[in-house]
Amino acid sequence: MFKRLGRIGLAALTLATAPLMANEDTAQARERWYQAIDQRYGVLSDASERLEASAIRFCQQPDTPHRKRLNQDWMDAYQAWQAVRFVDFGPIEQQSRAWQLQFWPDRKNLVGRKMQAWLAADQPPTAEQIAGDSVATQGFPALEYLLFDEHMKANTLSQPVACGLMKAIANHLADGTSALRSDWQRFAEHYRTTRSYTDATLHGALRALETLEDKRLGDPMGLTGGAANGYLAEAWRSGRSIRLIEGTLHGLEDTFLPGLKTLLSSRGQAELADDFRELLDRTRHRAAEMSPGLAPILDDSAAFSDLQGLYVQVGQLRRQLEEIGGTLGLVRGFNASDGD
Amino acid sequence: MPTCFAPRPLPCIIVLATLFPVTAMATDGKTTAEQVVGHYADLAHANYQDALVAARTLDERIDALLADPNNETLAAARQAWVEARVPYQQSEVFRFGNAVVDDWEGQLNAWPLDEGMIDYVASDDYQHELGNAGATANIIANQSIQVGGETVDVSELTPDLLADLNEIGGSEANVASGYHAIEFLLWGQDRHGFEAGNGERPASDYMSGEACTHGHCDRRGAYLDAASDLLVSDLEWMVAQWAPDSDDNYRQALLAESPEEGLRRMLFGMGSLSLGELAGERMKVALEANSVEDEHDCFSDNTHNSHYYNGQGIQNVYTGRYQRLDGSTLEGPSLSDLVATRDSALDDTLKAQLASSMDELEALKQAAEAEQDPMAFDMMIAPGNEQGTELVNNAILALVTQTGSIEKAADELGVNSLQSDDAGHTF
Repeated sequence: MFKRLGRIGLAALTLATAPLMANEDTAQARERWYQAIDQRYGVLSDASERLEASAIRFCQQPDTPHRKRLNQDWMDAYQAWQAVRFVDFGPIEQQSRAWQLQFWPDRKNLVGRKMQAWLAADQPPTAEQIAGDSVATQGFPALEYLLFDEHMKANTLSQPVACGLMKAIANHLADGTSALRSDWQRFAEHYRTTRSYTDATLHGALRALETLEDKRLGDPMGLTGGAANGYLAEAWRSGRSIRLIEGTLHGLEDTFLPGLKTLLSSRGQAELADDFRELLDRTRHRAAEMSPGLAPILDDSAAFSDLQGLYVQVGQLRRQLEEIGGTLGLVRGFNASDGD
Repeated sequence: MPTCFAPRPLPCIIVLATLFPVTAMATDGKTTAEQVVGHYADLAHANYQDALVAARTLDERIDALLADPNNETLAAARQAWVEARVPYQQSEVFRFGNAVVDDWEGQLNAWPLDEGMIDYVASDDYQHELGNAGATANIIANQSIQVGGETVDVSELTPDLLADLNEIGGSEANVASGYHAIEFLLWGQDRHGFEAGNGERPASDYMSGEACTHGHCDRRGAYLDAASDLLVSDLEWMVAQWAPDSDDNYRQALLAESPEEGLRRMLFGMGSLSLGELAGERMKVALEANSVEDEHDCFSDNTHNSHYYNGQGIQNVYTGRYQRLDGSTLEGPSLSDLVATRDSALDDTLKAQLASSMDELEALKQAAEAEQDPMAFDMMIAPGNEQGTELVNNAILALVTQTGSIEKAADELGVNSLQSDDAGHTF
């Protein structure tokens, strides 16, 4: 009772005093992770630039094709973020960058209230003003409000204040993701040579699965003690919760798994990575075949049992990775979601 | 142990000080893990006793307010509430790691709450949890409420009813009892946003007849009375759980575990409160999102004290020292002693870091309580308040830093897993 799952945002602390294994065993894994994450940050930065360009084009010519393109570019960039969201160490820890990209959960509709306040202003903000404002105004959920909220009637977005607000947020997002990628590249040497980042990377993936099971699925589905509540799902305004989950599973598969396999192979345990990959692949396919939204599924018993299947598989993935962590001697420390 | 429930806790200290006499001493005179865990239980017991004493004073002041509602009796009740937070917030360090506390505390300290379930709120200035069917139930104004298809008779406002109403409809924002429900009933909504000022509930909200403001004053009084009674009885229960002269309570269960398990619970509680809860949920979310909805004591603007005494609780557990409400100090075998015998440099570092966190939290407290231009926590988190941001960030950073050393101390003491091993326990 009375468990409120914490919002991830603080640096996860890992035990620097208890490295997993000898340095030579893990440097190779970190090299693979470094490259894969770098590429993913590149995809995120490029997608955010396309989103900004798309926002500018829509504001110049607010017609249906531009609008469709804008919605799609928002979704692509948001999914690109999901794919690399498991990286909760390094430059992403600076200036609450993860929250800048996605402030969530937002139980009390802070995003909605902050957006309404900006929309009521005479002038749209600059990107600098957005940078100095609440994290709730800076990321994908803020743009989602402008693109999908019921308060935004069909043509409101094309109005100067709304369009200016959207462009300022997209501009901040593109700047932020571009800086994130350069900072990651500057971080390369430190990441490659610091053993504790092997642990940190494993912890990041494990926490991503925990968050997926408990918060992104369990909370809105009413499986964590509270009632089912579609507003607790991510991207409820656009009805794209499952697409985001698919993005995370995809990212774990192509960004996290190769380094994990390297790590386990060097210990003669490649079969553990194969088992994990097999289940991850099945889970991702399942998510990909489901309808995009979570909230509508809560009232549809057939679809809900499918969603429960996804929840169960995510739980299995989490336990598999916990076991892998156990065989690697991973020690869990405090993290930002220890709390009520 | 009825004497310990008395408003004068002094006799108990003498008893407590003799709980771990020479029999528990290691033969070489060094502190043992067993002694440290035993003293931890003493400390928890004393802390909850103080929380109970302060809650009883609050209960008396609330009775006085309801007997004669006026500005003076309301101010006296508010003051008693602020004082009651001093021991309770220190006790929160016992919450994480000790399931007996964690499973119980929601009824006392759940937060944030959708206060429109309890009483009137401003229709144009109230944001509740999305999808919460109970958010505007207004128990005080109604004889029965409907939440998510369930109809509940609330005609008689008893402590048991309030306890049952918690989380009604499956939303944890539906908080019917505890410190924050009482806080709301004493202060009302803070409608000043990021500006100076807190809740402005008038004493007339408890007056009868023509003088009653906002309606239903009798029911509002009955609600407050019941919430206060429930707080007292809940704290009585927790004091009993830590009492030394019982053979069937949590203290006995804890001491029956291995000393290492006891140390794990102690360290887990310190680290979880320090990082995830205080630095994260209670400060960073509010600051980064500029969100007054995420302010801890949002009705009274007593947030700085709640944070300060949370930090104090963490330091208490490490040093084994607790300053009681009556000014006396409880001291005994500590985690610090244990760590020092293994790595005195680490002990020095952690002690310095805990002191540094208290300095940063003290800076918050001073800014909020300054005679001239006080800056309450909800002003610190305003967009563009650089000074406020720095104050809060410094406290967060100090807490994050000390948590790193708490992990090292755990490692040094052979406590390898700080993960809670309770299945289904969501940390």
